Amino acid sequence: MRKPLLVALVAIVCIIIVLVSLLHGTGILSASTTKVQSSQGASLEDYVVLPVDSPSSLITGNIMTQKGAPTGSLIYEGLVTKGRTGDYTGWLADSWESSGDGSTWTFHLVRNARWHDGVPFTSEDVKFTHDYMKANNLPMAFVLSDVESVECPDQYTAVFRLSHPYPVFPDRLAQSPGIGVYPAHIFKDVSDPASWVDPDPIGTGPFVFQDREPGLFRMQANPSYHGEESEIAGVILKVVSGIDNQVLALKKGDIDAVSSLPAAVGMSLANEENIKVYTIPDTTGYELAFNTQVYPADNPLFRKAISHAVDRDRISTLLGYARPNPTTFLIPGVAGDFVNPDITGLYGYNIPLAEELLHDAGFGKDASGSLIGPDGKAVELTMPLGGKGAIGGADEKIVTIFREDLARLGIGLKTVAYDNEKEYRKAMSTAPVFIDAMPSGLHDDPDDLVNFAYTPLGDENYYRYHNPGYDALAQDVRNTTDRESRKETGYLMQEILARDIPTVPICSTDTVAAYRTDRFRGWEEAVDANGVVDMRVLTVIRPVDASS
Amino acid sequence: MYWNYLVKRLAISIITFFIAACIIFLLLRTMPGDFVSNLVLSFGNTLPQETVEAFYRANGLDRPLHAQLVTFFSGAFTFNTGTSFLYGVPAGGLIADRIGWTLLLLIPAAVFSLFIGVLLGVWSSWKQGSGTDSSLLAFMMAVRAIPSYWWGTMAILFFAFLIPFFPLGGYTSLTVLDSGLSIQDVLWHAALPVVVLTLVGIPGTYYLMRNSMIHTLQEDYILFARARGLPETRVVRHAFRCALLPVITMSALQIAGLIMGSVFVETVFSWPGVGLLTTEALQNRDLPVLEAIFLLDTVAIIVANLVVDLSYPLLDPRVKRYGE
Repeated sequence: MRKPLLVALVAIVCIIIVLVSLLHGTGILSASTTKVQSSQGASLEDYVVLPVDSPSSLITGNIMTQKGAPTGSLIYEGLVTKGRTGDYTGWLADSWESSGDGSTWTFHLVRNARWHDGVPFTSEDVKFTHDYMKANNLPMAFVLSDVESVECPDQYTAVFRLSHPYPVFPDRLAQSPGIGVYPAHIFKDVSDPASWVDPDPIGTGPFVFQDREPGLFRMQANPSYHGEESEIAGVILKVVSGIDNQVLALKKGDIDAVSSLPAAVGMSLANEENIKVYTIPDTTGYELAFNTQVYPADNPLFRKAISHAVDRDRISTLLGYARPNPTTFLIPGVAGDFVNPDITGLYGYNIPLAEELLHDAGFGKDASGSLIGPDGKAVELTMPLGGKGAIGGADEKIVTIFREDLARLGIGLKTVAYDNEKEYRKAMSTAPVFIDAMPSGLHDDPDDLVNFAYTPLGDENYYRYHNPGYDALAQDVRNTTDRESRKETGYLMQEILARDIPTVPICSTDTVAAYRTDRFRGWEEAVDANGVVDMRVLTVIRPVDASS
Repeated sequence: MYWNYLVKRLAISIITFFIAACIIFLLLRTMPGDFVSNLVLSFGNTLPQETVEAFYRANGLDRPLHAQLVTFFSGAFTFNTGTSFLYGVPAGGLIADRIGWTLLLLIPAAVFSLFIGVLLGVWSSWKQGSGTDSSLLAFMMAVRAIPSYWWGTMAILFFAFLIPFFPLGGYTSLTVLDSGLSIQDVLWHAALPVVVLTLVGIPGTYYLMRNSMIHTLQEDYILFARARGLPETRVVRHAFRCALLPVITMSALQIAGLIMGSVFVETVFSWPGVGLLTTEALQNRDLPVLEAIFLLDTVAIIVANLVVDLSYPLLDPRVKRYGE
């Protein structure tokens, strides 16, 4: 009987040794280490605590391998950022201008910016970022794919020479996703950025990296920031998985704000004590898009008929925090006067008119009420669901209403859901109709209308829409820097789209955010921000005055 | 004889690992979607083909499948599956940093669920046919049917929010940033996830123990013991020893269930373990991390089965005698 006991004892000892070794990696066995507080002596209470969905949002590795706009990182900045009404604001650039054809862009840099380790920021950093990302084939280098070279005539001037005219090149740098400027003096010694772990991220932004633990990332306000200094002590990003947990954390006071709330959740928080809900309008645009080479969407009259079968009002009500978009593609709330007023309201919801147009297109109903096409077969559409349109289940809600209206026209509708972006895009290429969603930054300028032409990469557009006249106008808008000329060309392009209808705009939705009113105020003042983890918000909010 | 048995089991385990690794490799490469396309398509941009090709080249994904398989195996035995696409750090290191956190939940949950499941199973079998037995059976069926992430969500809602006794999630309070880790704080944060994992692990052990005890209590030697006038508690103790053996075998498979359960529980509780890492790696098609995680899971299950197989002859003299 001693042998089994001995074996059991040896096994237990081995297990304990393995466990201690593994737990040592967590740091839990070296607990109660006293750490250094921030240099300004701020307590944890003075920090804004914001949630992120996953640990990978906390600058793991190094910034060169991260996705996302520079505004999101809080530590790093880009040259420019774009406001919601189309105005650009300089961050590391004071001013900028382009050559007449938009193929050369000159950025005049701020002179008082320093990296967080005190090294001055210069144009060499801008050039280095471009050269380094391309030399190392980093995925985010695609943002600079239009750039042939960057030159530095002096320490505070960076000249971008593009491979083709690009009148809205600053838009590329600013959003969706945008790109930052990164320190040459740090990365020049890094030979393998894909696997290098940066122990101390150094940027020029309004927040400086302070420390981190698994699931937590703390930054303190930069006292030497070149721009408007933040009034808060700093920011702590905390991993809170899932929007439900984030809402509970907000209610309990564990975090100070949360954004991208589903509409229903936003409405449910409206009466919560110490919580205020607000919206950032027109952040996403939804469209019913046609594949113009696939039957029956290859028939212009069919497309026109369907354009009158989209009940935008009901869909907007169902989505919540949404408003119908009565024009082609550009969202009025962000595109401003770039929207052609003559083509507004052309796609009114009108089922009798839709039936009439279908009849003119050679479709008819049989005895059972099913729509029969010119080929003699019942018309049934298969629609893929996925991509950005699936966020928050928006596409399914749209389909719920759309299916009813299609049924009134005698058209059957099947849907197939895809959880993978690549598979969804493949399905889109063969489906006659699909729902697409784009951030408002891709619906706010005539340059975005180029989505309906051949892309600069020579790829076909999503709609497989071919119109040589339209393509020529797309070339013009890409080669024109004058705003008025671009607007006029954009108007012509919208007229063509209104005639050919490769897509039917449905609505635009708002981003819903909420914050605790007992901690910090001013969240709604940052009108250009797209969420709460955004430099533009965190540099304007301030602690709630105890006396207010 | 025992050493022959040991060598044979080790050899079979290595072959099993090899086959499982091949399946992992092929399954992950046939999964739809890939990291770089998902990343950039998520921004609504078209990705230049040269960027995709450069990414594939940099990560060896442009090579023939058999060449990739050789590279995979050369790193598999050291858990060196490459650099995480998402995190930009070695996948093995990423897991090494997190495995301790996962074990902090898994080990107590495994021990508690085994202990409680065995106790309840014995009690239920002793009261077979009674209201107690029926109630326990029904309760265990309900617990088993409901997924672990639901239990986790409800636990958070009731015991961390409505009755704010426990934290909402995470592994520590913010005080860790100023004062470092506190063991008490970590254990407080671990309490709810451990309870949930324990709860979902109990039914399997309970069913097996109950059924094994019922079967054993019908054996002739138990009838003989009762006929001899032994107290019922002693009868149950005799039956318990024999009935426990299948449960020990099953405990190895329970580990597999707990590992999968920890994926959901860690995600719900934002616990920084391998489970949360798995969720994120799956969503982003982070192949090196997924390969390392699934290899680790495979090794854990193989080792658990091996330990059970090798300990069986030591626990049951009948097995050892028949083997001889």
